[in-house]
Amino acid sequence: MLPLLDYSTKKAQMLHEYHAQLEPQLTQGEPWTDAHMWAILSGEIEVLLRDTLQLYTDLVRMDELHHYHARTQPQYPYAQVEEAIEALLRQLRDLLVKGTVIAAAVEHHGYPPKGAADVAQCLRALEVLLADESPIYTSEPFQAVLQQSLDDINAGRVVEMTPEQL
Amino acid sequence: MALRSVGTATFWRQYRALSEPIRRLARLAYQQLLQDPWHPSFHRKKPRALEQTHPPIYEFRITRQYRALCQVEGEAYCWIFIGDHVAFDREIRRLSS
Repeated sequence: MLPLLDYSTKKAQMLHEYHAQLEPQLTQGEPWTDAHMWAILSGEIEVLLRDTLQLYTDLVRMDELHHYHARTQPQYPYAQVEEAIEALLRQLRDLLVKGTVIAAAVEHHGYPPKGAADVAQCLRALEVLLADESPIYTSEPFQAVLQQSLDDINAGRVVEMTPEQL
Repeated sequence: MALRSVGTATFWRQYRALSEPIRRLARLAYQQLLQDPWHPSFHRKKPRALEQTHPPIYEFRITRQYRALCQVEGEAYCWIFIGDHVAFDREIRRLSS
């Protein structure tokens, strides 16, 4: 198993707990009466968002390592690790959704946390990675690129795939 | 019969634009494909959005983020796309905004 898998699992759990502590403070009306406390809360949320984004980076790297092992180790438990990574990516999606909500809540009080825009972008990236079928295939830019490649075939612009080419 | 692969000029341009670590993963994936074209790590499937083409197009996973497309006819493989789906999606959204 990958050490990063254990680490990421613990990290996701920690982030869930962090949310569980912060959310009641934001949903119970106006718990913070002075500006100083709002600034502190906003700072805490920035840390939360930063760590959530870092988890995304870690999971993408782990997925690369996971595929590297799948190609190089005949006994690698691919299906088992794949399932664990998929579950972590889904947990991360929940965390990003919560992060978006919590960031909007403090922003509403005039303290927009840094990283909120990155969270939205990260959430979209995750939607692409978790989709049953990649959303790019139906887009016009992709269809244009694909057509270029099909035109290459018709024009004979193809090259043998040899170890030297790769 | 041995598997025979070619790549279109567009595919090779896309391949050369990848970072070296991803190209390495692509090379390893290709070596594995030669040994076991149905290995589960490829998540080999026909995208519904591309199913009107003939020969059929299959998606092969290099990683979850980087995937390749190939027209497969028997043992003849023609690689037509390789790339980063997250970056491509971001670019589509940038163009449409």
